[in-house]
Parts: sequence; structure tokens; C-alpha cells
Amino acid sequence: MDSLDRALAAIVGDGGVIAGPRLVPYESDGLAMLQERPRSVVLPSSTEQASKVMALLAHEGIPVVARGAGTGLAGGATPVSGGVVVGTARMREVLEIRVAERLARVQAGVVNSELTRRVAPHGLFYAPDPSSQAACTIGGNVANNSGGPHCFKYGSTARHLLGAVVVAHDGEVLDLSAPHADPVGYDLCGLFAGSEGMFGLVTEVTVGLTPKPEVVETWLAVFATLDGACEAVSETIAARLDPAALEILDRLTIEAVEDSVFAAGYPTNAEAVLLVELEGSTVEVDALAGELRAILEHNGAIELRSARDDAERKRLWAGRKGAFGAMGRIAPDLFVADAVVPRSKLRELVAAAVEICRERNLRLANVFHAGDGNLHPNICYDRRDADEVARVLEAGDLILRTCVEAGGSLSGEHGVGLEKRDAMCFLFDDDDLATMQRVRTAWDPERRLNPGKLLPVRACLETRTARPLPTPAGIQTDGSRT
Amino acid sequence: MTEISQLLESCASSVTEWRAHPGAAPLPRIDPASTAECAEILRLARTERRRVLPAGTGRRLASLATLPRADFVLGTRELRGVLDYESADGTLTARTGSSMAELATTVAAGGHHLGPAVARPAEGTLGGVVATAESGRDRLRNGPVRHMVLGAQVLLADGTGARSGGKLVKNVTGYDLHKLYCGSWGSLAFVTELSLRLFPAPERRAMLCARPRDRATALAAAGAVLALPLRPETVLLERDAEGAWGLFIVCAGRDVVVERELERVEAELQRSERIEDAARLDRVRDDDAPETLHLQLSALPGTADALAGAILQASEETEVHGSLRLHPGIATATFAPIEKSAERLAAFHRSLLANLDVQRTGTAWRWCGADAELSRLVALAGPAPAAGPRALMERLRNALDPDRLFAGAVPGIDTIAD
Repeated sequence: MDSLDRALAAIVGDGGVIAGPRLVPYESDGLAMLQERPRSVVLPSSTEQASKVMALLAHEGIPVVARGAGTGLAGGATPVSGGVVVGTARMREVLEIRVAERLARVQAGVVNSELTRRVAPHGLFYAPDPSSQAACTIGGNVANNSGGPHCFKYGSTARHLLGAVVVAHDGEVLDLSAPHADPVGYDLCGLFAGSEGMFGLVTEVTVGLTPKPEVVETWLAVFATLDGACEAVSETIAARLDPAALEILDRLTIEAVEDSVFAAGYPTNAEAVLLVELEGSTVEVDALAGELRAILEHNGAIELRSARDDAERKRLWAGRKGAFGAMGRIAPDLFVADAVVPRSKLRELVAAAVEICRERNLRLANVFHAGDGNLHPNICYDRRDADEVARVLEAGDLILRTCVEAGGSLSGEHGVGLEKRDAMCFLFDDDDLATMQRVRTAWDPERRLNPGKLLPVRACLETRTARPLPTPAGIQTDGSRT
Repeated sequence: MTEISQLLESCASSVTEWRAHPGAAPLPRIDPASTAECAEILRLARTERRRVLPAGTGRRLASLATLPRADFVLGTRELRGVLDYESADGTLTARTGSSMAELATTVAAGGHHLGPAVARPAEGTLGGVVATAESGRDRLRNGPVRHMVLGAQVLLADGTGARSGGKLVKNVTGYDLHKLYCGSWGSLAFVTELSLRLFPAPERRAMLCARPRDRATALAAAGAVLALPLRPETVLLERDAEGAWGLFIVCAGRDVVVERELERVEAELQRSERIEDAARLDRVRDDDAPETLHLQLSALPGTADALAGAILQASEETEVHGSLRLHPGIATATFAPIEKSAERLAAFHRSLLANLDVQRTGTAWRWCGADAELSRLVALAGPAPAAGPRALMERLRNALDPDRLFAGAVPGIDTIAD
């Protein structure tokens, strides 16, 4: 340990500082293509410790990258050269559950699914349910404004965020935690959600909880075409129906899932399946079911299964939520794209992604939150094949541009991070980005928190002129090649 | 003609005179017809170091005890119109001077409901509703207005245009600056366009009305209805100045769903009246005019009993009587006192704070239509609701408006000086 590490250890204890070879797991988040070894990793266990850590790092002028579980997929938790990763892995306490007020106060490192498990006996659940919910943290969810399949009905994290305790760049503790029905003054929590670790380190979160619905029905609609499944979703939205979740998996994804430990009984001869969840009162679900069934059949559903019991329902969802992990059965690497598009254009944009990959001889597996228009065109590849990597990156870029040109946006839930930083210029001009930078600087005047992420480091004109591509060996955090 | 008016006369649009309410001092007001002209005016104001108060109709400004000090009003009256109504996607983008009533009519034709269902949609603009974070009678089902805003286009104090968010119901691209503008009361930027998510228009809307005999019965009945696995649009408890209680439950949605919900609620209440007449349904709007004196409170879900109890106890203790409207499902309340004496109202306020665990219930409050004397006495009566780190809010304001061009003042955090 060097002197800085010893100083950090004096705050968090020896077990809270990681250095040397043990840093390897922290070199990237879920976007393994981008890697950087941090100077060290420090794991405070309380707001007080986090405050002292941040104050020390500020004094030393050290860049900081916050990290929850490292499940992010956009490089938001990729370390920066010479920087320290501050992780929330030791802040895992559920501090308070207030059933009557339907809220919970937790440390930022509490795992998403653990919170739901803890409040379930009270007839409540925590609605945002990213696919990584068995691992991702509430703090990370706040930083990314995470969603998940059920955010179609219940909204993303920001809609459930009542308060937070944030440690600022210099160690100051910003108490945004007094929960109110509405913010008093500016909506700082609303602004903070989705700030990707650039405004501060969240250490405690107060979230709203949702009552469990009276009835839940889970369907699996089987389609002979991916187009049919997409059109069914578009028609459902146009009809202003509101199921709780609408998820599509295509044939390649189904094959991977059924060949894995997440096997859910999806028919492997289907071109696509649509996983539907209906929630609400008995009468609401009954009314919705009739209309939805008609739409599914109208768009070519060849079979409609309804989960017979809770076990089957869980199995169907395990298949969906394990889909990304299951891809390891079919390819050594997976480029997980994330774009969001108008629901009225699902079919054409999914078809465009399919064609873009076909033209480049790439295998594409689609699994996505169709109800929100949040696409995940996942491109299979092998990072040891440099040519394939180049084609994958080109395809990913083109899919993103196509989605944006059709009225979409860069990210539905994974965030911008490092991966799409320069693509911000597809959507925003220099004035838009400069305004965001101004707001960021109000939180972090030195811009030491997660530097080089989200906002392009060069003016949009320069970005459009020369955009570096990462290589399998990794890229520098300023975007240049290694 | 004032100096400001002379300054503004150089602009294309004409200058009018505006008052927040009949007794208020007039301010010059200009309503440019284009965003470009708005930008030009802001640049002029910055050069001349003039303070600008953004306003739609200015209706909600009438609720302030003292209007923020401003040199003129920059209005959105001529910035009207729908820019993009994506019926198949359930989103709307419109200019901020559009009236909520007009927008609601537009989207209703496409089968959508525009939230929030504010009290006086013909008098409120989209920009004003969002800037003041005004929620509506549909809040129990559809949430607060800040959850409806998807994106914004603004002009900053130097006339620069800036955009955040977009038109999609799910989007995590860049910082959500539109969250900051919502509830900022014109203190950060001049908002020119907003994108909102829409809701399905109900096929049918119907109300059940009951007359509980006393507070305990009223709260128990409301609680029992809220515990049912239904999604009513509104659950409202009223107590008039004479002490008579009314419970109103509005069910809205598909015809068959509404019918079954009404049956379930009727079974719970045992005695109630069904109302489907649109005019009578409208009575559940929180209709207090901004300039009339009333106290607005909001608290955490599940604390409505405590909120109502504290208000009624304070009323009894100080003999300040009035009417109470309580939305128990979302724990918001409005108390309209008959009493007008600032001293007695301040006594009521002190008693209220003494009877209420403000921190535990997460209660925030605002006296609307109060005069300066009442505002002063209320401020002395006890601490304002906890607003979070003021220094950070100041830095954010400085980041967006370093010269403090925008005169908007946020209730609860700004001390408004004459």
C-alpha cells in the first residue's frame, strides 16, 4: 500500500481498501470491452466514512469513479487512469421500512431484489426491476435511473425516488433525504437520478414502495415472425392498453435460454415470443385480457399460454431475466446494445437492426422491453477476432444512428457512460451539452467525479469529424486507442 | 411610458400592462410570437441588466404574498400550439403558452387524457402548470406532474437555447434538466416547449358520494376504500365550515371496470349516491383560486389521518374555522379559513405545527393568497419545510443564470423582497 492507500485504510479499515492484483475485477463494469486499472478501490461502510474518503481524495486531486455492483453496461463504472474507485459494496443495510408511508430507507449498496424480498411480507414491492436485479444495487439504480420490464407500468427509478443522501466531490454530505410528497424547492432528487456518478456518491436512498396487485397473470404469446410480435406491441400501445410488462425474445435468444440453466419452456421453433404480464384488480385484468388477446391473435400469435401458477410465472421470467447470461452458450462475447424508439416504429427498427447485422455477417439476438420501445439488439462476437470486433462496433453505431434518426434516443436504461459519450452529439448540440456541463459543474466544480463520461470531451463538430473506435485490448478513457 | 416599456417597444411585439391580481402594482408585459424574439428580449434584458419574470397567464403568481421584484414580464401567451402529438406512442409536445384546456381537447380526440387534470384548465398554460408543479385531481392514479414531463426546450438568461430529455416515455440520455425546471417558478430559465406522456382517456367516469357523520367515520371510510385493490382517480374528503363531511370517490376507465369498481365501493360504503353528471363530477377539482387565502399541505402516503387530525385540532384550539379538503390517498390537504386576521391565522399555524410530527409525516406547506403580514407571522411561527441544501440550489441557479436575470422565486426557498 502506498501512502494514499494507507490514509484510506485509516478511514475504512484495511479490509476496505483493495490494491494490487485484486483490482482486476474492478477494471471494467459489464462493458468488458473497455478496461482501465484503477489506482485502488475503497469500500466505505457508512456515509461518514464515504465523506472522509471523498474529502481526502479531493484534497489529493484524485479522480473518483463510483461503483455499485458493476453491472452497468455502458462503462459508467469503468475506472479512469490514476483514479480511485469508491464502491458501495459494504453499505448493504436496510435502514428502515415504513409500511404505512410505503417507503424504505436503505444504504446504497443494498441489492435491488433484496429490497423487494424484505418488504414482501408487508404486501409491498420495489417496482424497478432491471434484469440484473439479483446483483445490481439501489444506489447504482439511482445513478442510472434504471428501469426493467415492469417500468412500463410503474416507471423507472426516478419515479420511486423520495430522497437520498449524497456525498459531494469534496466530502460534503448533501442531505436530500427528507422525504416529501413533492420536492420543496428544486427537484434535486429528480435531477440526480440518471446522473451516472458525476454529481456525487449516493450513500443512502429513500424509495417509495408499491402495493402488490390483487391479480397477476403472466402470458407467453408465441409468434411465427418477429414482425408479428413487434406489431402486436405497437397495436397494444396504440389501443392505450396498459399491461404491466411487454417483453420480446427472438429465436436466437430463445435457443440460448432453453439451452441454459434459465430454460423456461419457451418453444424453440418460434421466431419470437412475447412475455406479457397483466396486473391489477380482478376486473381490470379481466377487461384487459380480453382486449389484449384479440390484438395478439390479430397479429399472428399462434399460441397463447398462461402461467398456471407462481412457479411457472417465475420460470417464465427467469428465462427473460437470464437471457443475457444465457448468451454465453452461443458466443464468447456479446455486444449489448441499448436504444429506445417510438413504440409505433418497433417493427421497422427491429427489422433495420436485423438487416444491419445480416449485411455484416453478424449474429443478432433480440431481447427487449418492447412496451417501452427499449431495444436490446445483442450482437454475438468473439473479441479475439479483430475484424469481427470492427464489424460489431460499426453495426452497433449504425443501429444507434438509425434509431435516433427515427425519433429514438441513445439509451433506454443502460445510460450513456463511456460507450455512448460521443454519440451524445447525435441528439444534442453544443449549447445543450454546455448547459448540462454547467449544471454538472455546480455539483462538481473540478469535474473529478467520473470524468470523461456522458458528456463529450470534444466539441460536437470535432466528434463528428473523427470518432475513435475501441479495440479488444481496451481504450484510454479519453477515447484514444491503446 | 416607463423606461422599460420604451426599451421593449423596440421589439416586434407590443407591450401591455399586467397585474398579478387586481390590487397588485402593474408591470410591463411582452408576449413575443416566436422563440427567436424571446431570445432577443432576453439578450436585451441582460445587456440592460433588467430582471425578467416569466409567466403564462400568471394565475398562480397571484398566490404569492409578494410578487418577486421584476422589471417586466416575459409572457408565453403567443407561444401556443401543438408541435407533435404522437397518438400511437402516447406523447405530446407543445409550446408552453398553450392552454391546458386546448391541449386536453386535442389529445382527447386521439383517445388520451392529458395530465395533470388541474382545477382550471382554461386558465392555466402548460408552462405555468409545470413551472409551478401544479398537480391535479388525477394525481392518485397518474402521479404528480413532474413524473409526466419527458423533455424540455428552454431559453437561458443569455438567450441560448438548450434542450434536455426527449419525447420518449423511457429515456436515460444526459442529465434530466427538465426535472429541475419543473417547480422552478421561472427562476432558472424560460421554458418554450415541453414534452409530456399521456394517459388513456377513460371511457366512463362516475362518482360515489357519501355523507359520513363525523371525522372518525369519514377517515375510516376513506381508508377502507383506499385499501381495496382498485385504482380510483380521486378519493376526496371534505369538511365544510359547519362541520359536515362528504366523501367523494371517482372511478374512471373502461365501462365494465368502472361499473365493477363502483359496486365494490358501494358495498364498502353501504350508503352512497352515484353521480355521473359531468358538471357535478367537476366538484372534486381543487378549485380554490390562487389569490384566495388558503393553506396547502402535502405529506407522505399513509399520514392523511395525522394531517387531518392536526388541522382540525388546531382549528378547534384557536377557533379558526374553515373548510377542509383532504385527499387521503396522496395525503394532500387544503384548509380555507373564514378568519382573515393575520394574528389569529398565525396562531392557527403555530398550533398546527405543534400538533403535527412534521418530520415523520414529511409535511410541507404553503399559504396561498396570504398578505405580507401573514407571511411574516407564519415565518416566525416555525421553521419552513426542510428544503434540502440551499447552497447547492444557489450554485445551480448561478450555473444557469449567473446574473440573476430571472426573477422567479420558488416558494419555500426564496425570501421574496419588495
